[in-house]
Amino acid sequence: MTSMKDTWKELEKELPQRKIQTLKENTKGMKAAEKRKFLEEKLEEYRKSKVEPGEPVGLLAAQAVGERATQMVLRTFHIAGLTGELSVPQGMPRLKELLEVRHQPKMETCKIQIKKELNGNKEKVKEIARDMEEVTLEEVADVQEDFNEKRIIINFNEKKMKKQNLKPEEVAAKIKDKLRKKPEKVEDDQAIFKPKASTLKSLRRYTQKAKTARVKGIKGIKRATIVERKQGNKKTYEIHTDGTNLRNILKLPEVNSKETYSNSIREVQGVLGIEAARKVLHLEIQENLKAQNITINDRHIMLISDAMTRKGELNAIGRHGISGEKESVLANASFETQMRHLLTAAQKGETDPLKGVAERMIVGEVIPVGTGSVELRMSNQKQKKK
Amino acid sequence: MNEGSVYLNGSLIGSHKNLDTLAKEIREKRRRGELPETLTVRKKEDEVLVNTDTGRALRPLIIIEKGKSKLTEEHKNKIEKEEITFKDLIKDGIVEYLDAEEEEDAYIAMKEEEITKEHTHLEIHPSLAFGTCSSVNPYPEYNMSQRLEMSDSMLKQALGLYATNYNVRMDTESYLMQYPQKPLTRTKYNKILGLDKKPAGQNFTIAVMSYIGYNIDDAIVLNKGSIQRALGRSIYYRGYSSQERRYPAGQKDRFEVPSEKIVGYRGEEAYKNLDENGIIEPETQVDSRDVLISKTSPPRFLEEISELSAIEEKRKENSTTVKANCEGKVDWVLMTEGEDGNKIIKVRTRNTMEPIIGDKFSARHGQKGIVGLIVEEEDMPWTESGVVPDMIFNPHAVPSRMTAGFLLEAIAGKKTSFSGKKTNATAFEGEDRESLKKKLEEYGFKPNGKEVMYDGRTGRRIEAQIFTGIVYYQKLYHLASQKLHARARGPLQILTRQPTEGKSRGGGQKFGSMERDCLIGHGASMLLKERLLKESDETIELICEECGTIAVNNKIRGEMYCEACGSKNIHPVKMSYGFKLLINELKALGIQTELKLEDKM
Repeated sequence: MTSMKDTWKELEKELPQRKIQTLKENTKGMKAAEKRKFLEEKLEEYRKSKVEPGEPVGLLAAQAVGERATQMVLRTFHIAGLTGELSVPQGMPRLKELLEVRHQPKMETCKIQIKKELNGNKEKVKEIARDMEEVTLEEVADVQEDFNEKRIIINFNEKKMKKQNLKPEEVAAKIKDKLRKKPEKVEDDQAIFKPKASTLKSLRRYTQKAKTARVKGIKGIKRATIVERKQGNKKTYEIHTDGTNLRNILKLPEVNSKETYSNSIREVQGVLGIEAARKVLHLEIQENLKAQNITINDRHIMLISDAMTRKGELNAIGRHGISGEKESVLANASFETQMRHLLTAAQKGETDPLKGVAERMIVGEVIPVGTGSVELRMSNQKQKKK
Repeated sequence: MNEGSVYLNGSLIGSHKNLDTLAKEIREKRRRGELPETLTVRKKEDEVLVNTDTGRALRPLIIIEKGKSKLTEEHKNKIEKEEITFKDLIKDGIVEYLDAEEEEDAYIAMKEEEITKEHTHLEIHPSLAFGTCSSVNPYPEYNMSQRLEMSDSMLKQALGLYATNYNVRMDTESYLMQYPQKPLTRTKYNKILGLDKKPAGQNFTIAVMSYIGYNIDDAIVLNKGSIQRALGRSIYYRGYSSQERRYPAGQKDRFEVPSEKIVGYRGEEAYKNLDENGIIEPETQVDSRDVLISKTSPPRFLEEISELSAIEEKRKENSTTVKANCEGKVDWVLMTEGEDGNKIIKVRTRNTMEPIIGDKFSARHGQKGIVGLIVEEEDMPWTESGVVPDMIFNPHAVPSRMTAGFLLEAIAGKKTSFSGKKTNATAFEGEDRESLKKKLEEYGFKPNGKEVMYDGRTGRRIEAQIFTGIVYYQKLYHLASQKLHARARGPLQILTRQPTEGKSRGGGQKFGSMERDCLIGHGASMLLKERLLKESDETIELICEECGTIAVNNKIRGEMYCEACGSKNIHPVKMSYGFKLLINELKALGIQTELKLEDKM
């Protein structure tokens, strides 16, 4: 009889650390014999669920997603016309956005967690949210041009200024940064700027600049709403935004930067790095499918997100991404823009090693998958004896 | 309020002070026949719309005046005696056509009893809401609209008496149902449309039950005894034609039995049924690829005539043969002359088609099915009175499709077979369920149509009572014998050397991209290679090891060499012809491909 410690050691050879941890937690309080039997079963299960060598995992992932996605296409067209307040595009359009790594997704949001000390205080959270929202000069003041004097007159709207908790001096300072010119005059209800405008046309340009100048909030946050979460008896609040700016949000002192989440893969990659982007991609795809009542094994999606991020940057699925970057000329040419691939290959005098599935199928060779992934080779030593 | 603009066919033509009277007057003028009957008027708030253009769907309605229908008993009598027609009614202003626009101004009563003072029009008959095909279906108002639509489209595929002069027609392809019957459960449109004279179906006795799994998923089980008594039997005619064509330089096709020397001679056996003119005798049994009309044609190119022996011309065999799946008896041979004086011979073959497994049958409720099994009569279930059904229908085909009309037709058919009077099942006026139930009871049946039945195989009583009835079934155009096709070896495409596609070209079974993905997914590489290479376009090409291009084998001199570099270091390489073609096409683009050879192990 081996001791329990040896059994665990045995397990550690095969199982990853995290699995061991959960197993230890789950087997607490079990009798030794029972425990041993349980662990043996689990090990057997783990071995069975491993992928066999030669398994075409990529194709299986594509088929697994593709099969359910065809259903999703049929379903998404039926819920057209629904416009919620914070509506993230769902189903097929969102999946496409994610897999193609679009530059401007339809709806970027940030789920901001507030630090523990503050997240139960509704008023405080509301304040944080309000300060976050982007406010332009146009929203709080009336901007006029004085063509005679070639200057810009800003008449502050007192009510709106108060609502946003803004002071004329603050606003003027922001405008100053934007126009790169000191104000001529700042009063309680008015501010006058005289930019270096030689023509009326350039004055108009400066006015436009002033109008859209951000006087408050974080750039890119169009709206911020607070959402109530219940944890037992305790009510906590978090902020959901329309538009993201993860870099600046994380800088805020009140924000719990460890648990704040953005659904924009590109932004996450830029701010937190490729590993985080991979995780977000994986979560977003799975979340999106879950909302459509579709369950696909996590591993398929993990494989896809791995493939999309393995080069250290985001690679879209498709001609411009991972499908277009195969080694083989024939494989590339068999998927869209074939002439381009053939001609560039001819120019460079490329060699196709015929190692992949697509090219071997074209030539008429056994494909390196499943039964085709093994080869017979003669051992060197025996050859010598002969 | 009453003042406004007037539009003709959508364009403004002026204004009028009293729109109500204007609309009324135009309408009256139309009824009097002073304006065309297809003109419609609508009064809409402050405008009057007059439409005369094409493309509007019009429907006829009886006019009501002062709360009374203008169509009187007198008219009805006259119509019955055929003294007046529908056109006279329109001329007299009793019936008029409305389009979708004018309908908005009308208040239409469904039945004569419903008429009140407000009503302006009376529906001629509620069943007119259905189209030509739908109105032939019995009890259409009990069925789901989708099923009705399916039934309409299948009605057009039914085999029947397609033309009364079928016996003197020479169609390339025609089907004829033998012993067609008028439906027992019918609508009045059957007669109006002339379907009674040219019916397309038969009344089947059905039992709604399962039969050892052979009627799963819409399949039907047929009684072999019934088939032997010509149930669902049809004839398939196939016409062939051949012409003695004239060519330039006085050359001509000739109908004759070819001599052995002629190019493409098919052997003595093939011509044994022909007379001395090379034409087949009527009533001979022919198989596919047998010769019907034998003909020889002059050579295509004049050069072929002379090289060594200038006198003898090499004629080609150009016979007409029976196509695949078209075997049968020669029915009719006809000799005639074409427009340009050419001799034409036409032959028609005939084949009797008994129902076989895979033939498609359909009731008139969108209830179609494929024959799944043909059972000996003695193995079929029978009722107490000894009735054996022609067909066994699966009960699962009804609930999800919601074709209650099918069940009603079955009961109505049962009733009809005892009363001897056809049952009216026209939409909204057919004989109702209660009446059918009562009649069934009078004839000694259960009112719900169920009967005690006995299993033909064991002789035991079937535990459940079985719903039986008589339903009108159509044999549809899709016959299994016409679709049967298989290939082991056969023709190849010239360009790709891959097997051809389609039954008529003796093609292979398509192995598409999704099937290919499936094999990859299973890791069945060897099977995949076999399907894509061995069963398709495998070739052996000679490759020059030095320069990697395709080499040449000069069989006369018995040597292999590379035309590009002259090397004799040549190896045969197995590849798909598609790949070789790709190399050639790239060459045409100006791209040279080199194959680097390597030992297999």
